[in-house]
Amino acid sequence: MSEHVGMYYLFAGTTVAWILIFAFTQKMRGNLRRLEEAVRLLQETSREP
Amino acid sequence: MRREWLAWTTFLLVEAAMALNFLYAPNLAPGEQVHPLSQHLFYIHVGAAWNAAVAFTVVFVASIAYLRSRDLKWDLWAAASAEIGVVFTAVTLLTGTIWAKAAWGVWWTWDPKLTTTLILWFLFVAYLLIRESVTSPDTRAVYSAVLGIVAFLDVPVVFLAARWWSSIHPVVITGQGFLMPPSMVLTMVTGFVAFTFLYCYWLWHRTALARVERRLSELRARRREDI
Repeated sequence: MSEHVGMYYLFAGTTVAWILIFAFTQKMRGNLRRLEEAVRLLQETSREP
Repeated sequence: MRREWLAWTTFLLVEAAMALNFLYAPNLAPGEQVHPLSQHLFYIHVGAAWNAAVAFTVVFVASIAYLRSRDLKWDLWAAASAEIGVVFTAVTLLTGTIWAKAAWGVWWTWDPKLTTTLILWFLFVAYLLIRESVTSPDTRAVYSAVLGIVAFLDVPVVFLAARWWSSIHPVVITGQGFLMPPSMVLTMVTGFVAFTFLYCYWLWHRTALARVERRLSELRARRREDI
């Protein structure tokens, strides 16, 4: 029985860890999108005479 | 939009794989007497090992594609995949040693399967180090492609090590199918699918980041020429 309860705790712990990893990756994705936009603008301005 | 779909599918699949692992899969495999916690690491271990093989296969294919076309796009895909493959191999080794301590009483033994996996990890760490040490993009791509192809040759050796040589590493997938009960097979297969989606999700991010890095270095070079 205690092993069973332990597995619920493990599931809850790994779920929290996974939500944090996922949220961090999604945040990085947002940053990357902004970086892509900045580089595109830089490329456009550097093409001007 | 496509990446959004990939992100949320990955999230749900990993969550489902964890639920099956901790709440559904048996605490003990038939014939094994390891600690339940170590038994649940098995699904992470197998999923990570499978995806390390997928990642290094992508390195192999992309390296050949680069040598044939000399298009740096392929070099970028190979490098991104190698980085993720190194992470998955590290997870495989780490979970494997914890399981080994519970099942065999030792953290590490120079078993053929374990040794060839460690060699694989070293080979791809060397691959990443070489990439960092060469500055010319074309030279770096050629060196990396050759090393990527040579290092990949260890992947089938790792897979077949327990069959070729006498090994204490368990063999769970044979020509006759999976040597385990259906509940373990379902958990393991869900883990395979979840880890594969996680690999694709990270690969997509890493290649996008590498493309931005390349554009920035091109811009920097152009600015230097202007000055």
